[in-house]
Amino acid sequence: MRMRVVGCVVMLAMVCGCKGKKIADADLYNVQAALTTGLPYPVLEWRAITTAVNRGREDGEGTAEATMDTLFGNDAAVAAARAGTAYPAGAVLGLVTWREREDPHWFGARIPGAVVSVDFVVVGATTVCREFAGEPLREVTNCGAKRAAEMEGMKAAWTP
Amino acid sequence: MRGLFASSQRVRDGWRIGLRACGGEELRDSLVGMTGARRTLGVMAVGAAVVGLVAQAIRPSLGRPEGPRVEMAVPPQVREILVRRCYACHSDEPRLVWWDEAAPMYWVVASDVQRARAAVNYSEMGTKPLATQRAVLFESVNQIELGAMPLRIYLLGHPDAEVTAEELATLKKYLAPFATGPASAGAGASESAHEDVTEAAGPSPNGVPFLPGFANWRVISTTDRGDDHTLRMITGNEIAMRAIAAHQLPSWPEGAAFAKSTWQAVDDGHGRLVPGKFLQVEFMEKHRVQYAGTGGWGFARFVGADLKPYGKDAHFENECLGCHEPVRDNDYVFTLPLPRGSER
Repeated sequence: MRMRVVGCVVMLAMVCGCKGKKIADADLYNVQAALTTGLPYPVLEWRAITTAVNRGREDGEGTAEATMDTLFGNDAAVAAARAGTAYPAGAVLGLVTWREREDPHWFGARIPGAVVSVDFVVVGATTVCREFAGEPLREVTNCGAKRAAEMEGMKAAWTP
Repeated sequence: MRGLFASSQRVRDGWRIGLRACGGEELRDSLVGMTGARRTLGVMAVGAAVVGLVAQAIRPSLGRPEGPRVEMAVPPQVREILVRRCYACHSDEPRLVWWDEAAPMYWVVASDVQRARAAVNYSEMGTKPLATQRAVLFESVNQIELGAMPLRIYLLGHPDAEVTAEELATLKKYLAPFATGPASAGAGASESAHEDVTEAAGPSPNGVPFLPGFANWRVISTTDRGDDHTLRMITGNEIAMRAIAAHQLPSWPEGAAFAKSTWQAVDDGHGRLVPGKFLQVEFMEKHRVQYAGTGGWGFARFVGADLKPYGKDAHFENECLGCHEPVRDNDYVFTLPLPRGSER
């Protein structure tokens, strides 16, 4: 009788053990691509305007790693981008650039890897561009008018 | 008890007649020599054998399906792998080993082959558009890589169907998703010429509704697809985003929904790939009871700028579930969401 009880408990434990199979965090979330703290705006809470890919290169001019970007914006920025009008004062754009990595769930796809940089364009009387990089993310440079123009030039992805 | 004995006596009598008719004299003699429970057991064994023999007469056909038969044009080394590892079920030429040939095993195998052919039949794949052929090969490789194909239960009886790491590498090398860029080069991003459509023509044939407002949902992830030269953005509704922040995965809560928007990838002229033509939006919506038949998820796809519901009838969702099956442990979700809550 005692043996039978012990047996039942062991089997129950085995069944429960199978059901509660622990999946590693890295198999559930894209942990590598996480944004650390240290940014002035909650960029991932904003809506996306578009996404872009730089496939990188391996040629005579050297190598560049493939990256993928997503351009986010605050409400004013998203509204202007989708309407195709100029960004009004108060609009803020946030461009997150990730290194690309192979998608562990799909051969043929690449997904965000480690964060390379996060750039913000703050539209105002004088438009400011601020770049954050490193781990944790820290302001590294004032990225300048060229970068700001590049980001403002990205068109919104059209969605019905 | 009496009744049982009486009926087993009748069975015995019946078997004696049957056995004589089948010429089973020796068997009958040995049965007569037995007594009591042993005899009953013997009768049952013979009965099972006869039923087994009769069952062999019921053989669903695995003949050639209808329609034109053309194989894909692939290099010989790729075709050889498919023939060796996949054709036993996924072609017009089923290869059955001797233990597959006997019913009831044959019935299981026959039904499996029919289902396998309905999903992918390499003997007719050459009749499909090239993009479809490429997509089927990518799905095949991914099903193999994620351990969903060949079916584990099938491998138990057919260990020689296992795809080797070398063979998988050969298939991947042939497909080389990122070897070439998208064919289309052009002005790049978005067409604003479209009239704004905000509602699909109707619900998906399986009853899953179109979920407006997905473009205003927050971003779960993005993907760069070399297999079909598209860029994709996966967004999630409030319930889904809260589940990510609260670290609830892999059990996505009731009401969680995702949208995956897909655009053709086009070169913007500055070496960058950006979203071009909008191709489709796909939804997954979690309702455990309502969608119990498809893993608790309602799947839907709306194609083109006019958001045409995909699928001839509700059976299209078998495609969705079949493809998502390898990620069952992740609650059928392929996407690894960007972590939330650690950033400010």
